[in-house]
Amino acid sequence: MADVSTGGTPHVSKEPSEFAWRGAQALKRVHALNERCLELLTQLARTEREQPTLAIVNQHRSLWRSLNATARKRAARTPFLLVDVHFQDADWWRSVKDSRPNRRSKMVLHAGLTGKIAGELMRETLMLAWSTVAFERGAASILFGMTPAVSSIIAELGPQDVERIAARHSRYLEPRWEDFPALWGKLLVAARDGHEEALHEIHLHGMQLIGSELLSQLDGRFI
Amino acid sequence: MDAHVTREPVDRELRRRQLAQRLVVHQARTKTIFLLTGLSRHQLATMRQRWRVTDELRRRGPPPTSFKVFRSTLRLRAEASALAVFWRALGNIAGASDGIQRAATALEFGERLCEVFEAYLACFPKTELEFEHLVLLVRGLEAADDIGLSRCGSCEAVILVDLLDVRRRLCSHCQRSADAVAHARVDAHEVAESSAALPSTGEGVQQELF
Repeated sequence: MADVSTGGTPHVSKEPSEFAWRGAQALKRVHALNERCLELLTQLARTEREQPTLAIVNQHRSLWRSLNATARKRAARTPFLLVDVHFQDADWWRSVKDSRPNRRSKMVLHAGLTGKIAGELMRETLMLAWSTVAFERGAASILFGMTPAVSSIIAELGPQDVERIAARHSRYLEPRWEDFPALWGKLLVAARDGHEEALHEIHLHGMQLIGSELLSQLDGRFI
Repeated sequence: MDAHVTREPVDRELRRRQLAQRLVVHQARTKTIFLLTGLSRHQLATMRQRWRVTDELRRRGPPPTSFKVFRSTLRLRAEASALAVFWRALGNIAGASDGIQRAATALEFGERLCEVFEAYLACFPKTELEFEHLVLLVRGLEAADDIGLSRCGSCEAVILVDLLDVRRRLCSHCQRSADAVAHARVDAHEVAESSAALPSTGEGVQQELF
């Protein structure tokens, strides 16, 4: 990439500083949050088998256990958040904004992400989503798979609202694609083996999956 | 006199020059820069000199015009699909940031393209796609004559498709898995055929006994 500035000498660089994406800072924070999420899932995998937990942990328990800190860092560098809080569901956000949670059936799905750490993760996720929406809505749509309707609701929240939702609804935090363990398996193997090309392909696949959820609510122009 | 009215042409000129600089950084062809900024070849040459852009930093020749490039490899298919997601998600938002949907000027369109490409580069620094590919992709998607977006028949991921191709559509990732299964079946079939044709060690021993 050519780095051109009026005063400097041009050189080839992958990261032009002057024209960097406005969401680049949020992307870094997403990576950090992903790492925390992967640490939590690794901890879950290291607990006893009898304890009810997530399918992506159950199916890949030995893989999770084999991940060291470096591998987790590699796995965390996805261009999207690895956890989800109904970022495509404006109805859910409307209901929690008005303090009327109405989807208790989801609780069963989230048996794995509970406790103090999950609560902290939820709080961090919501704070990051909130600040990203305030700063760069486009980045929120890509990094969180967030629809414009949800962005608008989150933009109206105050800091106390964010704290309240995080405290009351942390059970709704779930790993992205919890129903797609094969994708998680590929991500973990590629991260464990340091296979950069495979990681790139998984990132692309993830973005295509996010696009599938997102685009149907943007303009519906699928053929 | 209204200061806003007098400033507007100045702001526009600044935006044009900044867009030109952005496009040069993204190695857009001169023709593309001309179409998006309205700056002449002469003006661009002067700017490049001022910005000290060397020849090796410039892309020359005609920009890509065939959508085949997006189907040339499984990786490029996936890259083009992901880039299309970025365009749909960010291109529209950037255009409607003032809350009013209207036709974008060439300058605004160029700025949107840059924003989308910069976002894509930040998320996929190892991409094989270039800025001119984004221009081609957007042109194709907006015209909706040759290419469009669909969903993978297996995992439902967004895929870029040839509108004339009626085969079952799979994303690159599911296609790889399907190919691997097909290869495994062929290998298994070949092994079975060869073991049927050649007697095993056990069969040879039996024949000698009778």
